[in-house]
Amino acid sequence: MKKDELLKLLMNCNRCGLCQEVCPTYKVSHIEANVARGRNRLIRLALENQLNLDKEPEVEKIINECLLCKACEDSCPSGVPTPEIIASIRTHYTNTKGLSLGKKIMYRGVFSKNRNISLIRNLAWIYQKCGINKLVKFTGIFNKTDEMLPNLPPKNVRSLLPALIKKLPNPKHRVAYFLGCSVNNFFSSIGVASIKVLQENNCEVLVPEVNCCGAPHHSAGDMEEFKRLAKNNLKMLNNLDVEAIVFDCSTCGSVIKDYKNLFSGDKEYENVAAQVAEKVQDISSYLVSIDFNKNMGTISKKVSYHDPCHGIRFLKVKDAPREILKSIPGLELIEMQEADMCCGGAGSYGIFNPKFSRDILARKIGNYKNTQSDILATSCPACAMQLSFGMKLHNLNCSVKHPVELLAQAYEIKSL
Amino acid sequence: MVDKRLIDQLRQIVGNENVLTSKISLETYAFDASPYSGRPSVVVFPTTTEMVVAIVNIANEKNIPLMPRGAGSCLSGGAVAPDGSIVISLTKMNNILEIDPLSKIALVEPGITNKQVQLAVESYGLMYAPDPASQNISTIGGNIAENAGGIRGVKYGSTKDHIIGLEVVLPTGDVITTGNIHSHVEPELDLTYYFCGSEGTLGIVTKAWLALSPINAEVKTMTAIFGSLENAGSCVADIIAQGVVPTTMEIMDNIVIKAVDDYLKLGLPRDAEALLLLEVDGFSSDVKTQVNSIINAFATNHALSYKIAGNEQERQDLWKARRSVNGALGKLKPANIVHDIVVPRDRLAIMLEKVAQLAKKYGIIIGQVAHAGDGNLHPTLYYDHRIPEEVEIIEEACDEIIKETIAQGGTISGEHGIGIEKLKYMPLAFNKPTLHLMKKIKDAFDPKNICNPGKLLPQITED
Amino acid sequence: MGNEEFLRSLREEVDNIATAINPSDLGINLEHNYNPQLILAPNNISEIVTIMKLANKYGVSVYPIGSGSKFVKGICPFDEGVLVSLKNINKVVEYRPDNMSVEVESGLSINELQGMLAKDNIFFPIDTSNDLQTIGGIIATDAFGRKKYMYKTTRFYVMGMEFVSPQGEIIKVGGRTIKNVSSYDVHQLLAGSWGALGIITKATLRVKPIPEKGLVLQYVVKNGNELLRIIDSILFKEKLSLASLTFEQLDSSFLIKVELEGFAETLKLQQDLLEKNHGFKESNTNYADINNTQGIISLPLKSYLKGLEKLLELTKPETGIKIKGNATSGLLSFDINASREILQNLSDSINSLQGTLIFENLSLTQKNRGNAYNLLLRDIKNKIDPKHILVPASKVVRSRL
Repeated sequence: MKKDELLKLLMNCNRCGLCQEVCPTYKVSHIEANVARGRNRLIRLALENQLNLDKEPEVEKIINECLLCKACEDSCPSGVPTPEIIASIRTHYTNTKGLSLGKKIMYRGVFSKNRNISLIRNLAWIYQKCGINKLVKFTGIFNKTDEMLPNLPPKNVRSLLPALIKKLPNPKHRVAYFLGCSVNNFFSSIGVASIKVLQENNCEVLVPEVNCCGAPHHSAGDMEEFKRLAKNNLKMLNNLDVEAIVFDCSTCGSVIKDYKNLFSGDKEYENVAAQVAEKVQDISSYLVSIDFNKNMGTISKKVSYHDPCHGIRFLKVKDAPREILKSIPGLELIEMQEADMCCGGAGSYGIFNPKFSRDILARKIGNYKNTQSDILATSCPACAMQLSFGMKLHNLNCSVKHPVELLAQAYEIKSL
Repeated sequence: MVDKRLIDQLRQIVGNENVLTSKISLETYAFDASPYSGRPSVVVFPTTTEMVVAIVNIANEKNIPLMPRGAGSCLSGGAVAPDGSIVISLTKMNNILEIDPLSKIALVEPGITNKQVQLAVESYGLMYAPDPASQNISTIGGNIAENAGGIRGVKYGSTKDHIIGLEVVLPTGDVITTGNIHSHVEPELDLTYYFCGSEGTLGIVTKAWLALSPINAEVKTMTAIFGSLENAGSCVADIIAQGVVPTTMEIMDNIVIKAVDDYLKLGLPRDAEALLLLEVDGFSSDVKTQVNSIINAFATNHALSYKIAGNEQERQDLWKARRSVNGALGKLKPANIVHDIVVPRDRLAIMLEKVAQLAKKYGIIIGQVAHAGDGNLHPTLYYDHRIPEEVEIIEEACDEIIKETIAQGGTISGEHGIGIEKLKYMPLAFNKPTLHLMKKIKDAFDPKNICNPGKLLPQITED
Repeated sequence: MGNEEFLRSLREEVDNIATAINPSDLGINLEHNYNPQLILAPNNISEIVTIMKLANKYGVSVYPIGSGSKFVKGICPFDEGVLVSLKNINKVVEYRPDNMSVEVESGLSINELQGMLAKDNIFFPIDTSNDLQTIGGIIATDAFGRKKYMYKTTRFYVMGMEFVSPQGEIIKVGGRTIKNVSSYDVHQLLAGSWGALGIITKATLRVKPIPEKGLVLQYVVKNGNELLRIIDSILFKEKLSLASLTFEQLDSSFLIKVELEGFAETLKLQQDLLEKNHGFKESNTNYADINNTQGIISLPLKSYLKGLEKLLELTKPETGIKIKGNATSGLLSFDINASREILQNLSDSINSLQGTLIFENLSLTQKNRGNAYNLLLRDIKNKIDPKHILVPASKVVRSRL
């Protein structure tokens, strides 16, 4: 974004401070530099040449401490798009200084190539199984953060596809299922459940060969790589003869839905992105829209639901996952306080901002604990990773599940 | 520039993590929700009364100005840090210490937000009546300092009507407890109410005893539209005269109606000159009686039509227009100034008319929303701050609005406070001996004038 | 002091100020140890200004007085200085029924004010038991009436004020709008100051429409336990338009009265409920005066029942106790032939309940206000009244500690 455009957006901030109520970093720190109003002020001073962005490491730190959860934007009376502003400044940093070594290895080296994610995943799996921590620490990434990784499945989803995908005799629907990297590599049970649940509802499921949606690159301001990944994905998703592209990862869903803004003005890709965006559907919403099969077995448990930022604020998904949970016999949904507050995961946020991430997580887990439920459900694997980490950290013996996992379980119980 | 020893002392009191000194972090404490800003030298976050005392003692010893700060949502500059000051942020003193549902009292720390108090007492069937528009973020300490009102103010009054007592750290470092919390049979001079609205210039509130009210069983919301501001104004006067006390009576003029409709496409009556939004509460039989009286007042004052919300969804729909005013008006011009003048309720219609005339006279856009039930008007003047001529015209128009308000027997601020913004109007509102007396009293509380200096009281020249 | 010179100068500047030697000449009854040297009844506010200026010049103490009904409660005995009666400063300055506001001079009596307002179906919500009290007096003492639970105290109805400062300047604060945050609420400092910070000359009051209906219900219970049960139920459990809940002892039984105010239809429902649940019937008897008793106890509402229980328990019939109470105000009052021991025991209990016990005008409970509070009041006083002219014998603001 150009300087003038940014300034214009910033001028709309009348400093009322309403962002304090919803900003997770402010909630845990009570410090003005950690809320949209403070961040925007610093950016505005920089754009008005009263501060030098490149010579103030503290400003860079503050800019990087934003979770981009969008809660401030949604509660802002003037609609100031703070996440967009922050992302622009991060792009500026990436353009002028390049990515930090850690981020470079992590994003360009790992997420950009499916093969490498799998490789790292396999290494991590060995690491978890055998405790050979030295093997992993050389990457400099899993340093200090080894507990953050979920218990890894032995195989990724893509390698299981041949066994999973069934030929349905009389499919009523035909959908593409977007297999994101987190689900594929770290949360294969979600991917398996998604495919099973869709098939259970008489959907023929296609699984296109996509790559990373680019969320990590985007949030780090690595626009060049982001665009490259986006173009690849659009090629894979365009012209599919399906009624919807279904996402079990809110992050992937919202990033891909937003490609149309990324390519705004780009003759080649703008239209394609818009067409793809039309078909993007959160899996819960899709299931509700086709009046999903309610013939299920009983799960006698209490569950609470955490709204992923990308679900509630980007894809605007609020009721559908709750409807699914409530439809399962025996399952009691207990709402937690601040259900729509970010969990502090925010992609790789926790790795680079461990203090904030853990404080926000502690608040989230505290809210969950008050519900005294057995399961914490959420529709985003990134949140699931963070929340599972939170369970370990706070010694809670509760599981974190995607609504479709519970749904799949309920179908399975019925068929037994 | 900043005394290193001072910083060390402060760190010893509140801990390293509770002291901010970097240029960048101070920059984020320079301002509040007003257009002003200052240059604090350090920000501290005490968590106990004892810490506040220790900080104030240091400020006293070294003659350093200090400023208590809550959410920093003040609209008149009351929370703009004085140059070189120690900003005492109370946001980490945010606990509810006690809720006594029988006496209907809550004891809270100053940094808790108004909304958190509401949520905490709700389960007892109680509410804390003041509900300023900023309630989601503004703190109880800030509400006390500004004597915050709220949408329900017509019926329930402002903050000072709901404070029972305070613990205050005086600018001298002494701690006092005010309020006839446990007795009202011995003659005593209660200072509680003098602290309400004192804009942080008399001390730092560290605890507050809040009076709670029962949540009313039923609420009814209605809107009516009028062909003239005058009819709407006299309708308000009629309703009051009939003995009905609505919790809310909001009035919007044609400019605002159109702007909101452009913004939200609600299908509002775009040619209506005024829209009135009312809410009554009470036992269900109370509500019925009041609604009937109000409908009568609509008829006698030639309302063009009216609507009554049948359920919560419809109620939210009626409120939506009012709630979106700020967002909608923000689109008209890049900058605006909002006043919070108040006139006696029998002058409301006249004052609305006068402001509309001023807008014509100066050729500017002034949108008007008013809390009609208490005579509180919010004329909002729109301009482009980058065009010097526009700024000049706006300033002139503002001065005239203030003068007209005083001529109508009104007051210059009903909600936002004097702060920095309205200092220049103080000599219009008060005679010299009165300002002198206020200064003497301030000297008694704050002999060194270190507590939020430069706010509320203008510099007064000696005779 | 310079009393004679003061009076001479005063006569030079003021034509026909009424003077008297005895308070009773002005219809005021003070106890024998209150001995002003002179009594003045100025005719207008500028005469008050003159009085204060000259009093400062000659070092004469000044004591403003309204009806005099509460004077001794807030002021220690004295035998020098002048008493300034506000009885001639009693006009209605500005009455705005559509704004529900009225500005009056401070010598106007409650009685006259209510009479005027009633014509427009409006009233001033402070229902003091003595309606000869002046507006200035009830503001200065922050008075409240039986219906304090519903209407709180006088200060909440003061929107604006004019007063003469101790140094003889006319000070105007507040206004006539119900919302006002323009600078310090100096009038809130004067309200409840018992005359020590200024002579209130005018006040703008917030008034209210008379409620559609008022209703008093009564019921007699046989013993203390029944009394406690009914108070608990009405004060804390029932949802009522409650204005007051009072009781008085009749031998061993108690007469309870519930006063409701609000909309007629609502009150009818509540009346039926109280009759059905407890047996309350409409009452038309007068209220007992709860002020003129030997002992007064004030309690936070949550400890009211515990306090009452203690009082009932400690005071057996042989002490000849008669208890009256206003539960909604947290007050208990009683006459008793009590031993020192019983009183000590009672004051310990009341103390532990964070209440106050006053017996024969002496407080028997400890107030834990601390010295800093009194020092601050002293400093305020000294700043605005450096010569200690106005009410130097004040019990609430002492210019010397």
